[in-house]
Amino acid sequence: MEKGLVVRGLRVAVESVEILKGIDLTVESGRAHALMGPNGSGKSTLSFALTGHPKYTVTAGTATLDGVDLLALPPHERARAGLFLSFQYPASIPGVSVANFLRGARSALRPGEALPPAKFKRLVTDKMELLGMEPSMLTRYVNDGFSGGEKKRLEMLQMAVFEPKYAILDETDSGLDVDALKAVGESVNALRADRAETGLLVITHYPRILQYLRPDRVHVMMDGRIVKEGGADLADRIEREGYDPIREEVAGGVA
Amino acid sequence: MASPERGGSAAAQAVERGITREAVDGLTALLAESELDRRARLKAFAIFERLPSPPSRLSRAAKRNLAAVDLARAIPYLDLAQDGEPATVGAHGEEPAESASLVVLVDGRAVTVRLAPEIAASGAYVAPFETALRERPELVRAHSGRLVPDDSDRFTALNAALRRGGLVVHVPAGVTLNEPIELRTVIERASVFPRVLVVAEDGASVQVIERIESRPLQGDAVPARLVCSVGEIVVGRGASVRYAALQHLDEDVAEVSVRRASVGRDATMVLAPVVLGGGIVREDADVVLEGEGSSTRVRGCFFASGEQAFDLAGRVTHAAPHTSADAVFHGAASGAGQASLSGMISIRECAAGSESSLKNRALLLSPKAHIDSVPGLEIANNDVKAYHGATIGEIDEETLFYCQSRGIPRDAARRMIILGFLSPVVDAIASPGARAWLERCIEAKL
Repeated sequence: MEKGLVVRGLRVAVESVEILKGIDLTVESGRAHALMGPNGSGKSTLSFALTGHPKYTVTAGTATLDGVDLLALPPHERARAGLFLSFQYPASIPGVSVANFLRGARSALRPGEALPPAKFKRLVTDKMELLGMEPSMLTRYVNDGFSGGEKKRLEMLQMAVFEPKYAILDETDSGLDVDALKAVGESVNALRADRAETGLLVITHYPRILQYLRPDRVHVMMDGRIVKEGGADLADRIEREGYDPIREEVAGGVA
Repeated sequence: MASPERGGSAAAQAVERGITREAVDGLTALLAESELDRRARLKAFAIFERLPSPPSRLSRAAKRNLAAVDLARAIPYLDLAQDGEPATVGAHGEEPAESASLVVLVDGRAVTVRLAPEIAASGAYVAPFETALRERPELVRAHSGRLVPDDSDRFTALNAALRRGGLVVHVPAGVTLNEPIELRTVIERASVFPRVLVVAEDGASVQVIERIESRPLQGDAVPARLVCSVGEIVVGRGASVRYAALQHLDEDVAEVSVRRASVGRDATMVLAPVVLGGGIVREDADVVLEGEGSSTRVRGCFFASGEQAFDLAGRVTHAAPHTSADAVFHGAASGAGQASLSGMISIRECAAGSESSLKNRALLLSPKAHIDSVPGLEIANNDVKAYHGATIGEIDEETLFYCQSRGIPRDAARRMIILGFLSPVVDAIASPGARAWLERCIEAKL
């Protein structure tokens, strides 16, 4: 069994247009990987294809989670296998309180492991404290009327409560002001400290969030392919120079 | 005509069938009413016979309206005296009663009257309608038929003609009742014509929960079943009334109801009509803000599934200055379910400084389901704020996927989203027992 969130030769189309043109990527347990790239390079497509969004069609390749064939499973079973996606644009669910949603989802994720209400409440309270969140959010409806920052923090809370093996953070930094970005970055760090074994794939357009979250490995995606890989210094370089030099390097290499 | 009889067997309860003038006579004799009462009933019956069935507001299922109910096949009442033998309660939810004050009427007969000690202690009065007519005739006659006159339409007239069962609640000035009063109207074989009267005097406060349900009937010789009710709610100066009407009848039962509340100066009224059951249903809920500074919150919901056809209307009338209303209706339809929701805000010329909001939200769960959502405004004063809006849609795919990505299977996610959609109304019901029952009823439809 191959450990890790392992993607091999993945090709993905949306409405017959190929977006991902053969992705190879391995997210290791306990490590933070950054997936960077300009807008439209296919980063979010990868996150939706791995979690099983019906709009995304996998045309070739494999994706496994600690040996489990993700592509053979419906979305909820991929989540049960241990995959979590922090959405760039989380949906709102009017009428469903955060507390009920967390409880329903957690018991759906772990059918054999029902926590009694008091223990579950304790778990949630602890995680909210860890993330510096106010308990008042629990009685609000899921993402209904939430600010951008609140939505992202609720995603972090879910990640904390669900305890996934691998988590994809899709543009968790987008749409946040500096303070909100700092709060979310610190949340991710607190979660890493709390649960070191979770493998992270942090998808980002801007390297800003990586100031708070040092990646172990950086992958750069352009036009549906991983074109460059390196350590944290690669993110620093993109911060300084933007994507154009890398784009030219890649074009030169091809030519 | 058999003589009144207590505790007769089911066979002995067989009664002449059909909604007829003779049935009115028979009921009067059964209840040993005065000649005056008999004449009033017969007069109402004549109005019933004269008036046409109200036109359907359903655009696609206009034939599935009250005119389609075969009244000749209905049992107008059971031939048993009032206060018959105890019966088990809870046709759909068999949980023990959770409300401290509970009145249960089965086929129009009171089988349970259990009142919280605070009712007698505070001087409040709660009784089945016929009992109240005997014990507190001045109270009943002062109010009954005032907000909803017998001749309002064909079915209010029918209710007046065959009235039996229902409830009277009187809360004296300044008295707050903490426990909700629950009226459970259960029907088995007979059609029922309950009348509810709630009078909260100045500064009083009370919560009433009405549950209307039926026991499923089996076999070939099944009568047509109708619930035809009238509710009148009088909210005195500075008083507060919360009223929830939760209807979960079997689909062979037709239901027609008119509920009207009159809200006095600085008083508040919360009205929560919930329609889940019944095959052919017409409900009108109407709040009149009569006193300056009065306010209302209306939270209505419905869920039409299978072949159900719901013709529903909600109306708020601002008849005094500085009144405010916040009305929200959420409705869903699945299968071949049909519904029409007419919401209306009417602001009279005298109602300067009033604020009103009406929101209709509809959720379609299948291609054959249909909901007409018709919000309306009539405004006769320029110094007011009024808002109305209607939305109609299907379950959002992205929301479904979001839930699935959290380990929740697609069907369970759908159920969760629909329950959530209807929950603003469920949350407005203060009794946890009734709320839980309602949630189970909704889930049973999913």
